[in-house]
Amino acid sequence: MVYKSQKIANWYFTIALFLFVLQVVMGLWLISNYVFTIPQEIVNVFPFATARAMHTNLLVLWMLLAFMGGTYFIVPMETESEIWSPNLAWFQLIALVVTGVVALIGFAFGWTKGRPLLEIPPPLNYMVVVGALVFLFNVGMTMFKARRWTVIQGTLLGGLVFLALLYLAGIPFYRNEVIDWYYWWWVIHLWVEGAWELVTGAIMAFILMRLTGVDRQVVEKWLYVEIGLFMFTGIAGTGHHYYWIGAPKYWLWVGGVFSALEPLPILLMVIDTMNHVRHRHAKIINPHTWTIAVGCAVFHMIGAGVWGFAHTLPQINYYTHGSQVTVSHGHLAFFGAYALLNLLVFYFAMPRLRGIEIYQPTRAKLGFWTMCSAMMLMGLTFGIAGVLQSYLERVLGMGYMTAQSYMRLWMGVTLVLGVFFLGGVLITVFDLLSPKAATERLD
Amino acid sequence: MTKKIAFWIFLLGTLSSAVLFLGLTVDTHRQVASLSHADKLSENVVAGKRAFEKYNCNDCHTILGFGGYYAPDLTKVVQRVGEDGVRYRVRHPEEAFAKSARKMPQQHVSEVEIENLVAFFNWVGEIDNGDWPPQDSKKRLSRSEQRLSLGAA
Repeated sequence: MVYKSQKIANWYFTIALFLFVLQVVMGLWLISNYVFTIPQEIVNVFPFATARAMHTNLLVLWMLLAFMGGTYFIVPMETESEIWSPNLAWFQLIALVVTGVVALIGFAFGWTKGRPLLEIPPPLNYMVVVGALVFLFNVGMTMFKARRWTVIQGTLLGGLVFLALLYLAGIPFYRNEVIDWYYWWWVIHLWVEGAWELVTGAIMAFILMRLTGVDRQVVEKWLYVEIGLFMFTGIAGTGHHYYWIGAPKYWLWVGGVFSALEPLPILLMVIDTMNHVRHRHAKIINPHTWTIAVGCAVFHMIGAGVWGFAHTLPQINYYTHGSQVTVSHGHLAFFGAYALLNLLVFYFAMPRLRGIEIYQPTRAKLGFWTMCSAMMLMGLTFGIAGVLQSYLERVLGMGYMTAQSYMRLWMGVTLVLGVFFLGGVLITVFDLLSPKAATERLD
Repeated sequence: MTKKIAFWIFLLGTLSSAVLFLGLTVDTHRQVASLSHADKLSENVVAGKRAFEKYNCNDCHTILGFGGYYAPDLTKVVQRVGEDGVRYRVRHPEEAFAKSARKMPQQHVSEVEIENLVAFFNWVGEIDNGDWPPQDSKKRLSRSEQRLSLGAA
C-alpha cells in the first residue's frame, strides 16, 4: 500500500461484509416463510414484507458501501495522490451507516415508503443524497487536484454520478401507478444494467491491469467498447420492464430487441478477461484473486446474460413475469455480477491494506466454492419453482396457493442450499477480516 | 482498432440509446394518459395508492407484476375476488387465511382506507396492460367453462 488515505476503504469493506451476512440471514428467514407456515401472531408483528424490505435494502447498502470503499481504494492509485479529504470520507461513511441502521429499524416499526427496494422514507433518503453528494465531491476533488485523468477513473466517476442522479427518480410520490413503475425502473434497471455496469467495467479493468500487467492503453480501449455496448443495450433495454404496465406497445419491440443484445457486452468482458491473462506481462502472485475475477465474469454472464435473456422476450415474459423465475435471475445476477465483483475488490485490497502481499488462499477457496456452488444450485431450484409457477398458475390457470403448494418442495431445497451459502459467506468474511500471509510463494 | 475508435463506439452507443429512450419516454407520457384512464384517477384512487404504500402491501404482493412474490398479484384482484372479497381479506386476514399455509398480517386498516384501496384496485384493474396477468385474462376459459367445453365434447 502506497497511500495512507486508502486505509479508509478497509472500514467501508468491513461494514459492507457485516451487512452482507445480515442480508443472507434475512434471506434464510424469507425462504423459511415459503417452506413453513408461520403463525399469525408472528406474521402480525414481523410480516414477510418487512423482512423482504430489510433483505433488499441490506443488499443495496452493502453494495453501495463496497463500491464507495473500492473507489477510495482505487482512486489514489489511479490519480497517484491521497484522497482529497479523508475526514469527509469518514463523515460520509458514518452518515450512510446511521441512515441505513435507522431505516432498517424503522422498517420493523412500519416506517416505510412502501415502494419495493426503495422503501427508505423521505427524510432519510435525503440523507442518502447528501452522503452521495459528499462522496462524489470528495472523489471529484481528488481527481481534479491530481490532474491525472485516466479512462478507468473517468468511467468510475461517470458511473457513480449516473448512479446518484438515477436515485432521484425514485424519490417523488407518483399519483399514477403506471408512471410510478416507469420511473422506479429508472432507478433499479438503469442502476444494475447501466450505472453499476460502468462501475463494474472500471473496477474489473483496474484489477485486471494490476493483476496481469497488461498495457493500460489496451485495457482502456476495451473498456470503452464494453461500456459503450453496456450503455447501448442497457438504456433502451429498460423497455423489457414496460411490457405489462400499461405503457405503449412499442416497448415490446424495443425491450425485446435491445434485451436480446444485452449479453453481448458481458460476453465481451469474459473474452477480454481471458485475453488479458493470456497476454499477461506479470506473474499473478495471488491466483485466487484471479479465480474470483474469472468467476465474476462467468457468473455475470450466466446470471445476468443467459438467465436475463431467457425470459426477456415478450412471448416468454408474458408467462414468467413476476414469478420465481425473476427471483432465480435476480439472485444469480446480483451474486455473479456484483457480489463477486465486490469480493474480488475485497480480496485484492484487504490483505494489502494489512500489509500482506501474498495471502494464504485455503479458507478463501473453501468460502468461494461453497458460495458459488450453493448460489448456482439456488438459481436452479428457484428457477424450477418459477417454471412450475409459470406453467401451473399462468398457463393452466390454477389458483395462486395451489400452484405454490407444488413449488414448496423446491423452496425447501433452496432453504438447505441457503444454509450452505451462509456457511460460505461466513468463511469468506472471517478470512477477509483476518487474512493470513502465505508461508511459501505461490504462482 | 484504435483507442479513438473505441471512444466513438462508447459515445455513439450511449447517445443513440439515450436519445431513443428519452424520445419514447416523452411519447409514453402522452399515451399513458389514455392507456391508464388517467381521467378516472380520482382522489380516492390516489388515497388508495397511499394506503397500499403505507402498509407495505407491495413487498408481499406484486402489482402489474412487480413487488414481492409471496402472495398473489393484485393487478386484477377486484375482477378475481370482487370488491367484498378484497374488503374481507384486508379487514379480517386472520379469518380469511385461517386455513392457508401463508398468513396475511392484521394491520388494522381503517374502513376509509379499505374503501380507498378498493378504488385503487378497481382503477389498476382497468389499465390497458396487454392482457396481463394471463391467469386473469378474459380470453382464457374459466374453470367452469373448461369443464363445460369438455363435457360438451
